[in-house]
Amino acid sequence: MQFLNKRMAHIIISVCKRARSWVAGYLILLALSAVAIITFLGVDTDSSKMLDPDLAFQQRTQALNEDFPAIKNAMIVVVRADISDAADAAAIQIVRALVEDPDLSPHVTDVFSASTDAFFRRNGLLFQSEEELDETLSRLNKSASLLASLRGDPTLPTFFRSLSTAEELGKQADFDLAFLDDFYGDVRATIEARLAGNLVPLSWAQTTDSTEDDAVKTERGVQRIIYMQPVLDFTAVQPAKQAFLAVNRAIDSIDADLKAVTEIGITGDPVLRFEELRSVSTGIGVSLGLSLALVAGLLFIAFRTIKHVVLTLLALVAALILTTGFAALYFGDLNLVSVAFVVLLVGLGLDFTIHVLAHVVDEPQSCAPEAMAAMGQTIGGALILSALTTAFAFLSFVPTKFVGMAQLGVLGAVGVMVAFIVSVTLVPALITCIPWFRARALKQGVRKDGSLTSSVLTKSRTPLALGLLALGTLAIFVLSDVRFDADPVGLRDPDSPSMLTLEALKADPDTVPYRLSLVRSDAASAIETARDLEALRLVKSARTADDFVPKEQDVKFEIIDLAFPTMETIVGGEGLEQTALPPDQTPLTALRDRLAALGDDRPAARDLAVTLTRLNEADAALRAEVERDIFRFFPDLIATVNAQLEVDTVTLDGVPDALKARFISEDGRWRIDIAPSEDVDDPRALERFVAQVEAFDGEAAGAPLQIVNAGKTVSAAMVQALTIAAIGILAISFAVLQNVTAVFAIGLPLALAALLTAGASAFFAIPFNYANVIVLPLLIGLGVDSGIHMASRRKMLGSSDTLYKTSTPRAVLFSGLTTIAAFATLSVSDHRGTASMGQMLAISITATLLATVILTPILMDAFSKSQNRASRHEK
Amino acid sequence: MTASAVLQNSVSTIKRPALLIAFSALITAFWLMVSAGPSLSQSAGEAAAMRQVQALLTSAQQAGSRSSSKSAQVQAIRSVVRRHFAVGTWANALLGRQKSKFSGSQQSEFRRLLPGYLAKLYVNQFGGRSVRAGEVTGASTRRGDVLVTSRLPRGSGGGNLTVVWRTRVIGGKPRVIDYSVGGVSNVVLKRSEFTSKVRQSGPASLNSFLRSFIAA
Repeated sequence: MQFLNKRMAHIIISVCKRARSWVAGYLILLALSAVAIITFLGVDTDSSKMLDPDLAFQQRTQALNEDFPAIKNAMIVVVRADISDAADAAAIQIVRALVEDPDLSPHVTDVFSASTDAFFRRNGLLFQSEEELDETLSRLNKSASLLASLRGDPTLPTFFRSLSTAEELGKQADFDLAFLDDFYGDVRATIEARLAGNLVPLSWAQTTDSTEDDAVKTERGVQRIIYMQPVLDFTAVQPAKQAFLAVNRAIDSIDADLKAVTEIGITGDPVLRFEELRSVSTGIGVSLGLSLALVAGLLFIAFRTIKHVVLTLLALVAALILTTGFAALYFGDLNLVSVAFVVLLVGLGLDFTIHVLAHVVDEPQSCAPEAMAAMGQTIGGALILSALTTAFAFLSFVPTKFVGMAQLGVLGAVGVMVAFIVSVTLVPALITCIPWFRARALKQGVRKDGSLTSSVLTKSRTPLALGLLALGTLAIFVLSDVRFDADPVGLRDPDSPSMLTLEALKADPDTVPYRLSLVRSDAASAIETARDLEALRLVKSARTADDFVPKEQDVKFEIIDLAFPTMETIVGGEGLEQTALPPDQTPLTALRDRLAALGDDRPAARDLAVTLTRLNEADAALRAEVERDIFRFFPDLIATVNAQLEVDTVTLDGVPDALKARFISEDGRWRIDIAPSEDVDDPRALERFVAQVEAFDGEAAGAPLQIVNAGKTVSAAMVQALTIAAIGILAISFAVLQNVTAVFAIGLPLALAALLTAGASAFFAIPFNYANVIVLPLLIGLGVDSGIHMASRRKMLGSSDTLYKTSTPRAVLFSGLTTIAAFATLSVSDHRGTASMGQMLAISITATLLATVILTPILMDAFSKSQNRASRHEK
Repeated sequence: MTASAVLQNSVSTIKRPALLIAFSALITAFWLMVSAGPSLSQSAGEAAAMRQVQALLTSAQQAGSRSSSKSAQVQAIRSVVRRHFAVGTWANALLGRQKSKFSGSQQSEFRRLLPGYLAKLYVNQFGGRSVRAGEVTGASTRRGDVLVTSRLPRGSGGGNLTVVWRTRVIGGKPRVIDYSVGGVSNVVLKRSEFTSKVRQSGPASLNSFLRSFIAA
């Protein structure tokens, strides 16, 4: 240790002699780093790339993504409305804009929506079950005369007269007209809404399509989905940005009245990532400003001079730029974990400069080269040792399968070494070159502050230590609840549009995104496998491309054939000849009176009569609006029936390519899409689902498998890295300090801090994730740093009471506080990953600070007393 | 005469303008016949269907007007239905998959009751005692069936009712397999009602309903 202290003093003197050259050299390096950052640095938010690509489940998923790129990269537009007519109309307009608008179409490909696709519009009836088809055609049949009459004249008078005619003839022919009552209810709702100034267009699909009853309905209504592939621009920071903007423009282009009755969202992996980066960066300026102000405030309290606050921040910025420059040159793209190296550097990079300056101003000739050399002589060895051990702690992640963290490990190690070098070279050089940075010795301030710290720590250390140990004991009991949440969804802002849209997909069992896939070489084995999979309790459905070829088509064609003349009448024939109007009656009043005269068994008809009385009193403009509301989607219904007349035998060849590409690879292999039966928002349900499908066939792949196995891999990697780090750090510390006591005094508080952090994660239900897992290496780095400073100074001084009166505990305290101050503001971020990082950092650094500052000296005192007793006993 | 001489003679023969015109006319006539063949036969089918439906309307009007009571009308029109309707096809279409729920005797009973039920429907919908018979106004062929359009006098309120009869050749004669008013198909309408009844209460209940409907 003495050798290191002397060596450090020598280096500092040497730097001070050539201070200008050092500053100039740094300026050149900083400029080069800045160029490298601007030119090469990027961020890849794909969480699947954070684990070793050679892992079996990674390879299976990679192979699946390569064979079926349409699944992984799909952008998804979800259109929701109270009625399917509105959802369909909006979907049609969006698809049309994306396909036909020359400004938008270059940005997306393979736009597909089952609800708007010509194939499904034409053959949709065949995809209904026999019962549904019967019911649909029955409804269409009952409405045929009304629809045929309105097709020629879609106006309110014809509408009312057609209904009057239906009522009259129904009465004559003993037709059961109850089927009209639901329709009357809908018509009434539309008219009443308009009378109240609202827009509720009439649903014609609901009147004629039985599947509307069981249609995919979320809490917000009917849902339609449009899939597409974004054209990614990898030269841009946000590759999907142009596609995202194009889809937004397509959504903006739909009719205003459709916008009023629909809710449209975009989601899918590219959009989630786009919005994630945006949510992470939104407000980051304010957060950064606030953090800097807080850090500067704390530094000012520590140094009592603005000069050293500025100097510390300059040193930090220099370390950040140099390390980022290295990241840009060495890695190019950072990942979701390694991007947090900035957090590490602020947490650890400040420490070195704080310790340097705190000790420099302790010296009588503050800021003179001699004082800086004396500082090197006092803490040089501790600085070198803490830099080495912290760097080693980070490098311990490199051999793990968690490549995201391994990248952070390299950056953390480099960053810590850079920060250390900056603190012992650039800082002394700047102080030497620029006299403004030279502060006078803070005898008075240090003593006052020192005595306050000393007083608190000396008097309260025993109860504080007991409190920490009690908390540590409690933490052991909740350790089994500690988990790693590898689902990238858990990191994102839950209120962001893409996440809200994803939630809507999750609410529908048919579109839940947590699906597994199995691939088979041919159709027959895929169909057979799907059948076997559907027998599993935790599998809701197992689909193949074959499911897009309707079953029992012959029977269905027979049923459709029965209604064929009806459908032809609707699109090209005439309805019933209208009954004559009673004298002095309008179509509206005639219908009103007819409905009002109906019995109690037709309450919906009588309610409509009341509404018609109100409509009769409304002005012409309002009636025109009612007419628009009633007929808004009528042409769409006629177009649908027209398309249905073209129904033809469906074979696999006829299935749209965009859909087939999701199920059959280019080389002809078949994918089976497996959906879970349980609510897999519960991680345990997700694990059960994956386990059952993997037990069925170990070649399953997909997001649920990634999430479950990534969690296990990361947990194993963390245990591996922490073990390596602990052993390595203790070995290095022992090699340098040559003192087992000091090594234990550093290691035990560190273990307690780790225990408290894990316990807090379980207790506060903040699972570890890709963003906040950074706290573990930071905990080790900061803990070892602080422990070494405390232990080596304690060893040098011989007692804790004397140690508490020096600048060391203050420097340790402030280096921790500055880290907390720097990142506490992240706790309120909209991005859940970022917020959890802020929360966990605050918890873990507090635990580390308390454990190190309180327990390390106590342990050293205890070991020292024990040694003294032993040596006395020996004497 | 050698074969080449015959060929040369033939060629020189058809080079003569008058013969050429005659030959062309022959070819044209042949093609006209060939291409018109199906439509001519279709027209014949449509004509037969029109005659059949007209006979149905006339028979029904006569049967109805001769009967003194509604039940007598139904009874009389029942035999018209048996003559002109493909009752077996109706039965199959009306029951669909529900047919499998019927026992042999239940099916027999259903088939026995069906003509009476259709006759009662006819009386209810078109009136049993019209002063004049309905009139066939046209026909068209769709998907192998002939749709015959007719105008029937409305029971009350004056005016006419357009009824389209769907006919199919069964046993060598066109028979009615469905009819629709204002595009509303009777088969589709009643199939839905029957399905619902069988699902709710079983085949016996449907037969019971038919009996009470006819008797009412």
